[in-house]
Amino acid sequence: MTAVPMIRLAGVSKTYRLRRGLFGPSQELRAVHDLSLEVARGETLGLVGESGCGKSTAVSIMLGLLAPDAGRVEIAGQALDAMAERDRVRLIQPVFQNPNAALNPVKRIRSLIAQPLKLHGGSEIDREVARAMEMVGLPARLAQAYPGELSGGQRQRVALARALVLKPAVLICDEPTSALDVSVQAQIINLLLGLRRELGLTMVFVSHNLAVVEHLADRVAVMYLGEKVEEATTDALFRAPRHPYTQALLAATLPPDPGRGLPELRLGKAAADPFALRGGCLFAPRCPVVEPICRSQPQDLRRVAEGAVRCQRAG
Amino acid sequence: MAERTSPARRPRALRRLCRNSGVLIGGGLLALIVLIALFAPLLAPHDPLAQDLTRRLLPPFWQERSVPEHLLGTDHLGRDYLSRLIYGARVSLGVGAGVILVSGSIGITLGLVAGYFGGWIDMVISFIITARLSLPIVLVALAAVALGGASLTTLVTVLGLLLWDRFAVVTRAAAQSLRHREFILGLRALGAGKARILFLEILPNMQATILVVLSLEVANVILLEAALSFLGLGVRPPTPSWGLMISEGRDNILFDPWLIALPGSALCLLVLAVNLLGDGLRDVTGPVQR
Repeated sequence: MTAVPMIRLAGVSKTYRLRRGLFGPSQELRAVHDLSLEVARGETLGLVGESGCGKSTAVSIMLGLLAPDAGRVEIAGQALDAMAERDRVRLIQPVFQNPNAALNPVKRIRSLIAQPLKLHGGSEIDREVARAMEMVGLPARLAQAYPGELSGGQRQRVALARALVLKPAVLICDEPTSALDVSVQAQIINLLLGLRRELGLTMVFVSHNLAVVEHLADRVAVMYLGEKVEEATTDALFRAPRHPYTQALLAATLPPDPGRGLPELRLGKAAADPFALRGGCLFAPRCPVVEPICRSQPQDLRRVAEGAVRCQRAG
Repeated sequence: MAERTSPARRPRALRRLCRNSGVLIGGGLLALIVLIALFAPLLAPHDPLAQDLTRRLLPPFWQERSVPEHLLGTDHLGRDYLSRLIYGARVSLGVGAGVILVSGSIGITLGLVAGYFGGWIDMVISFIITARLSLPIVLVALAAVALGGASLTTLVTVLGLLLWDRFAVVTRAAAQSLRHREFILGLRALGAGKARILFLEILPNMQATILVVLSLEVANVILLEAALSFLGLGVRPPTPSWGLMISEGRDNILFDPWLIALPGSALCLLVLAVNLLGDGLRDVTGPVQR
């Protein structure tokens, strides 16, 4: 990577302190720990992991909604915390998971799409809104409708139009298809692909739908309990996953042949516990190939051929 | 709680409103009383303050001694009872509206702030709400009026400063459920200010809930005004207030019970109208809320 990366996270950590009641004991929840990511201009990074692995926290940090406890976030070479809100908003915009919740139900579509422009002093608002609606394939007659009158796919298009109306360079998609029907998912993904090509967008695509990530992303980072456990180009990751967690994730995707039955996961019965003792490798309690040393010694992220992996056994 | 009332349903909601008998009857009755209050000078046959001691305690039209000039009779000072009833509606509605304006603004602001920000801010505001709930309204109002002197302004101020608790509790809960919605996150990512998010984005989503609380509170305020006026601590004579009229008629309750029955019925009708309307609104908006 020779040019300045569009997004750069260096050693970013975020810990939540949870407290039971006013004077109760406090517990620490490491949402994101020492996360480093780089996304080149025009590249799409898939961010994958189960619920609670820190994906959404990472997204909030990238959007500047949450300040990290440690580490640096740079967007287009500038430190995010030093950037004026105005510039940040024009540079990076989110698309959220649930289009039903992402649009204020009491506002008309037109004013929803126009809102970013109004907040940041756009001119020719009417024309810009019409352009954005056309771009995402929304018929103009829907401008006066309310979100409740639209289908899920249309609402997600509105959310996209709203994110793109300021012409940002980066789009952070937080599971933008998981609340949609499969057929509509395909439409939205194709729309995203088209827009990415047309506008040269840099994208971070958060999902636990691996098929979608495989389709969209150039590179994939896999997270487990706030840590990046593997990163590789999409091809390499799906062809030969190195980390046992990635292997399990891929195995968990239902095979197309129903005759083969449900996949064998070998993850044990334990769920990921962010409060569990952190002596060694975080994945050790569930790892099918765990060794005694894994439980005592934390694993470091190692560079391997096409990326990085946090497991001593992976070759 | 898949969806809040969305105005996408407005046409349908309007039709449902019109089909709800509570809304129709309550709304109609309330509209009638509001019109009477607004056009009191045109409707009242006499000056409500003009005394005529030669025509004291004339009975209303259904009794024998009645005079056609005074349809509902006169009180112990010979003032026309119908005119006093008509002007009394102004006091009831005016106090109701004034108090709700004050208490609604306080309660909604506190509730929104507590629900949206959470954390220690919520803790402080919740404490204030609890502290307020522990105060007996009538006692505090009595003490305040005793200190500040009985007047309409004191009454509205005191009640307004006391009756915001329900607004606060309801908006706090609604704001809590809305603040984690993604559109709020999106707005923050857009750099929208907190005041804008609170009052222009979150507040419009609660209009149905607030409308219902409002109707219940109006009824409550009207009754409190009457009660305090009855106790001589609200509206001061000779201003015609229904509560005050009941209080003044108390001495003659044995021989002229209509002196109490008439303002009592007016009060009853107004509160019934407001409550019917509120219940109807709740029924219409309720299922959509869930």
